[in-house]
Amino acid sequence: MGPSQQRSRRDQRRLLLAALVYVPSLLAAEAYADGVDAGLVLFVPALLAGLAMILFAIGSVRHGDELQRLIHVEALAFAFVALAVSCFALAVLAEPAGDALPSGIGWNHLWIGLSAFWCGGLAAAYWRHR
Amino acid sequence: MRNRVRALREEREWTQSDLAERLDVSRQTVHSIEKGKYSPSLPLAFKISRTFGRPIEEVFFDDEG
Repeated sequence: MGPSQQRSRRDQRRLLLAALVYVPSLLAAEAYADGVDAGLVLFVPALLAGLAMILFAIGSVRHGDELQRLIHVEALAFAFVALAVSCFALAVLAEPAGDALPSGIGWNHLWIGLSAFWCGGLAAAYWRHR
Repeated sequence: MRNRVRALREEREWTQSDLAERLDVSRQTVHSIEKGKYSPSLPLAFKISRTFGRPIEEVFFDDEG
């Protein structure tokens, strides 16, 4: 494996580690922040892990070869379009669906949706270029 | 665009991983190029031809050529 590929793999491993810190720290902060003085401080680990995730994701794409970068671009394009369509569909369905739709959809769900669509887009792009 | 990457690689008894390491790309990229599913950029095409010690027109050629 060449040096760029090694750096890309290293950043992928670090991205996974950052995600393993991000998710539990965010869930813990959301669970314990209410009613605690300066509860926002609890979100600092999640914020730092989130920033690390962004940096490692960029590093992983930047150190990838040209086909890997193309795959990531295709996956991101798919994720943004799918998220936009989902949001519009949700907005259109919100009124007629009434209480049938879950309430309390927030920013966190957008991130989760984007991540899920990105993973789906990555799988599809990898399959297309295999 | 067609290419002779696989034939040239096999002449040298290199695996796809060997060639990928020499080119500093992933094995998947070598595989896609060999299959003709992905056309490499000009810099990578020149790097491939340099690695095989052949002029680029002996490695890559147009479908209609």
